[in-house]
This record gives sequence, C-alpha cells and structure tokens, in this order.
Amino acid sequence: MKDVHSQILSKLEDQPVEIRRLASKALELSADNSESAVVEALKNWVREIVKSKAQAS
Amino acid sequence: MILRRIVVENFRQFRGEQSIAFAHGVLGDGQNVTVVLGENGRGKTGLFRALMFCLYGDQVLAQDEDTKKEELRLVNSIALADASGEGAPVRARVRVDFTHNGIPFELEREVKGYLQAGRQIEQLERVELRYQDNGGNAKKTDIPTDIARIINKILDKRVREYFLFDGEKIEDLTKASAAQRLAVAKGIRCLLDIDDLERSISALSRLTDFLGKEYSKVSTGEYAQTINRLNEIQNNLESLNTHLDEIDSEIVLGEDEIRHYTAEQAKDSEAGSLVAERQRMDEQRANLEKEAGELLVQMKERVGPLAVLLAEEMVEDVYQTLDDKRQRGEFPAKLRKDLIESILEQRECICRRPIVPGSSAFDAIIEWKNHAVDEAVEDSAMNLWRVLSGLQGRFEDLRMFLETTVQKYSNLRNAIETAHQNIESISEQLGSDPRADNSKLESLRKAAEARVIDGKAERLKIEDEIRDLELEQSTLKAKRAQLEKKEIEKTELAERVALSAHTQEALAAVKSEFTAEIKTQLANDASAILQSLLDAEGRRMLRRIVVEDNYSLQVHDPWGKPFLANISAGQRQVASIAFILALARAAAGGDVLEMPLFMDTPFGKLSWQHRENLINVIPAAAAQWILLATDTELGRREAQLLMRGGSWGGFYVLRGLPDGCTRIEEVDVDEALTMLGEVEVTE
Repeated sequence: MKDVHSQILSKLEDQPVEIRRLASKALELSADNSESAVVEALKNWVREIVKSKAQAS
Repeated sequence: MILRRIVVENFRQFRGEQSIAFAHGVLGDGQNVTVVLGENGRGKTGLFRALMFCLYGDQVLAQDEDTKKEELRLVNSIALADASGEGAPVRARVRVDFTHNGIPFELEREVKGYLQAGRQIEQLERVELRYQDNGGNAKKTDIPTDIARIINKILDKRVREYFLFDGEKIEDLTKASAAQRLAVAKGIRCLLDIDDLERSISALSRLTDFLGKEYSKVSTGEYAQTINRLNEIQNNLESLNTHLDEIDSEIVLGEDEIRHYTAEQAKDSEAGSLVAERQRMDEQRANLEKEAGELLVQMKERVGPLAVLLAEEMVEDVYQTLDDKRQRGEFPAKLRKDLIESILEQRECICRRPIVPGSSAFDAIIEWKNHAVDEAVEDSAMNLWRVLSGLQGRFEDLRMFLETTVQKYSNLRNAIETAHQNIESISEQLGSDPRADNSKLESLRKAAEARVIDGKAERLKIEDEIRDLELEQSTLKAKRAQLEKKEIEKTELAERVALSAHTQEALAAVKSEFTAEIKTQLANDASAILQSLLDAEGRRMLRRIVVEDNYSLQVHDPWGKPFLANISAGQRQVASIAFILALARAAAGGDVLEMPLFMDTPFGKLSWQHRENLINVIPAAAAQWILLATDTELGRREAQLLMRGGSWGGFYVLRGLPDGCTRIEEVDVDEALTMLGEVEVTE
C-alpha cells in the first residue's frame, strides 16, 4: 500500500468499517486504473460490501 | 533524482561529444554545487534545453514563447553544414546519467538533422533508458511511453518547473494571476500525491450518481400502495361478507313466509290447482336460471382467452417476432448477464485468463455486459413465446364456443321469460280472487316474494363485488410477493447509494484536511526560509508567506497586511525560491528532497545580500544545486562564499570558439578566484 494511502485511511479511522473498506478499494483501484475502470470495479465492490454487512447482521 | 552527468553531442552550440559531471555530494551535505559559467549566447540555456529534451523530449521551453517552433534548432548547424557537404545527416544526442533512490539510470535521446533545399529539417530518432530494477537486474527500454511513465514517476512533468527553472522567470510564481494560482495549486496537488485520492473521489461521485438513478427506477412507492390496497380490500371483503349473511337471513325469512302463504292458498280447493301449477312453473324457472347461471360461469371463465380474439392479428405478429428471434438464437442468450458480471467481479475469464481493468478485453466485456439482457427480461420473453405458441390454432375453437354459448344462453333467457310470464298470469288469477281472504294471502305472498327477489339480487351484486375484490386481492398478493423481492433489492440498493455517497464525502473531507494542513505547513516553512534569504531591509518589510484559499501566494508585512504588490523583483525571486524550497522540504517529509535545483540565471536580479543568503542557505536546503550563470552575476565575491561553505564541487566554463560553437571546459574550483572578476550588483 502506498504511504499516502495509509495516511488517508488513518484519517478514516472514525468512519464505519464499510466506508473504510470501500475507500481502501477505491484508492487501490485508482492507483493503476482509469476513472471509468474504477467506477465499473466499484459497482461490484459496493454490492459485495453491503451484502457482507447484511450477512453479518 | 540526483544528476550525475550530462553528455551532449552536436546539440545546439556543442559540436562533437562533450560532458559535464555534476557535483552530487551526500544528500543535504558535502560538495553538491556545480557552477557552469558562460557569457550570454554561449549555451547555458542550451544545457538547460538539453536536460529538458533528454528527460521529457521537450523541444520547446517556456522561454521560447516568442520564437516560432520551426526556427528552433537542436542539431548543431556547423556540424550539419559540414556533413551535408558529404550528403549525410547529423545526429544530435543528449545523455543524462542520474540516480534515484540509489538506483542508477542512463537516459539517451537523439534527434536527426539534415538539409533539404537549404532548410534544416529535424526528426526525433531514438530514445533509450537503461536502469536497474529493484532486484539489481539490468533493464533497458526504448518505448517512449514506458520511458515517459518512468521519468514522470521520478520527477513529475507537472512539477519540474519548480526544480528545473530559469531564475529570472521563477518570480512569476509570486505574481497575482490565474496562471500563478494554477501553478501553486498544481504544485500542492503533486506534492500531496493525491492523484489516487482525487480519482477515487471522482469515481465515487460517478458511482453515487449511477446507483441513485438505479434506485429512482425501483423506488416508486408501489409496494406501500399495494400493501394499503390489500388492507383496504380485506376490510371491504369482511364488511361485504357480513352484509351477505344479513341478506341470507332476510331471504330465509322471506322464503319461509312464501311457503306459509302458498300452503294457506293450497288449502282452498279452487285455488289449489293454480297454486300447484305456479309451483311447477316456479321450479322450472329456477332450473332454467340455474342452467343459465352455469352457462354464464363458463362464459366468464373463457373471457380471458376469448379476449384474444379481439387482438388476433397483433398476437400473431408478436408470436412471429418472438419466434424469429428464438430461431435466430438471439434468445435465450448463449451468455447470461450474471455470468458476465461474475467474470468482471472475479477479473478472470472462463478460460482462467486474468481480465485486467483498463485492458481492451476488460472494455470489450463491459460493452458486452451493457448489451446483455437481464435474466428476468429473457425469462419473461420465453414465457410469452410459450403462451402465444399455445394459442396458435385455437382461434377457430374459441370462435365456435362463443357462438354456440351465446345462442344457448339466449334460448335459456327466452324460456325463463316465458316461465316468468306464466307465473305472473297465475298470480294475477289468484290475486283477483273475489274472496277477500285469498286476495290478501296472495298480496302477502307477493310482498314476501319481492323481498326475497330483492335480497337475491342484492346478494348477486355483493357476490360479484366480492368476486372482483378477491380477484384483485389475489393479483395484488402475487404483486406483493414480487415487490417484496424487489423491496429487499431496493433496500440493498439504497444502502449501496448511501455507502458510495458517504465514502465520497469522507474522502473529500480527507482531501480538504490534507490540503489545509499542507497549505499551513508550506506557509510556515516558506516564511522561515524567506526570513533566512531576505536582506535586512526585506526582513523589516516582509514577515510571512501565505497560501491563500484560492492558492495564490501572498506576502504579509509585519502587521499581517498583504504587501506583495509593493515588493521588488529581487524580493519576488527570493520569495518564489523560498516557496520552492518549502515545497521540496514538504515533499521529502521535512528532510532534503532528492531533487536537483537546476537554476538558469540565478542571481540576475538579486542584491548582494540576497546572493549571499542564497549561497549560504541553498546548498544545505537542496540535494543538489546547479547554477548556470554569467560572469556578470557570479564573481569573485560569490565564488569566495561558495568556497567558504565547502559545497562547491564542480566548475565548468563555456568557451566560445571561432566557428561560433562552444567548448565545455572543466576548471579546478580552486582556480575560480583567479579567473573571476568583481561583479557590479544592482537590484
């Protein structure tokens, strides 16, 4: 993980775990992909994160 | 990036192969200053140009704004004139050796020049980068885009002007203009390394928008409306059934009365035969009505299929269209949308090959997904095809059924009417009996019969109403089941919208926080550096550099008032350098950034005190300082200061040759004092 990503995520420590997970994925994808490719990949990730939250509760 | 050596061959004024080895010392310490001295026109800017050409492929510099691109020549024109006599092109070459994070790099770029009808034509020829990877393996690439990517990672093209600049132009950084604000904002953004963060925020914004639109498609309030209507129907059914029970009680009472009065009438011998005949007729009418009722039920059951007769042509058209598509294999599709989505999610093809986002295969699959039909739509289309397929050839049967049933029902209604008239006729005879008792009995019987008939009619009406409501209830229950499924999806979709929007907001807040922090840090660092660079007068007048909200730079006086408009060109240059050194320090996390400060014409507008301060401060504040100076700005006094600081490690003089070319001569630093004169300083 890039150092700046860790700094960003450390500022999100007070946020719910789902926001931290999605933010982390967005940053990871943004490092190597175009914005459109990030949007497409995030569609799956946001679904996945909401599903796992529902299963956990 | 630490520059080690630049080699130029037939580039601009430099004929043949010549080189400069840059002093690099140890990061932030040791001999890290190189001075290249030359009169105007000898090639100082040519060296700056060589560096920009080799690193970024730039053929034009910012200071060339008044020169036409076609007039700029990179290939040495004397070498070209000589070679053209022999009919050969000349290659100009620049090689820059540098290290970055301890890894050595060699970058070489060539341009070919030739004469055509007296005009000098130039073509970019070759670029090659040699370096070691993290494992110490030798690597080589000649792909321009790969090279640009690697060099940009080392020194981003967008911030190069902060480290490789013309000293006299750098004061623009402190001139109030939109371009200046953009430059400062750009520097801060690059410094923060928040490209990924900005791309994430932007992507999440697009995702929130997309999910919001999806949610608005399913969120119509239909589920709530369906639930309300089902509750309403349930209440109505309960109340109608209660009413039905009341009517039934009334009918039973009425029928008891009829039976009682009929029995009384039958006791009379004369009227007895008429009453018996009416009873027979009444039973016949009841049977006929029962038969007609059954026929009506049959007809109602066929209303659905019979309605198809009204749209016979349309049904056949739709069936034909669907059948054609099915035969062409358009549906059911060979690949389902859910499979494509699974491939995208797992980033792996069914043949196990990886699918990389941004690759052409990935884009093709996205395109494919956009054209794929949802599973539900495809299933519905197949069901419709099956139903329509079953209807084919049944139109004639339906038509026959309709004609015979309507005829039969009509006959039954006629028979019922005849029975009714006969009953009425007998009742009239009984009612007009001259004996008062018989007449009264018939009148009471008729009243009871009327109540029963009204009750039965009311009952039929309520039964119809109940049937309609039950039908609606059953349809709505099926709809509720579907909507419940959608509702679960909708709730999940609403959660996705909220998660995307909240993540976007959280990251945007982080960006604002980062930006505010870096602005404060830059302002503090730049102000401290400014104080160390200013002369006594400047320190009295100027107190602090401030990065405004709109990213413009401002200089405040000791009373916190903006003072930028009143400062001299030299003070502007010093303020700009202070800001650049602060940027470099922030980029290195408070240490010395591994970047050279490559300054063309560094002291032109500076007072003696400013020069002294720069010479004292920069060698320790920058990893490497390369000065391209004229002998009118760097004299014995400046050289003494540089030598005293112990950081001066390289000295080169650009000598003019009779043919107009330049020779680079390395001179021992210790000899500098003997060859440099006094410089007259004016600011």
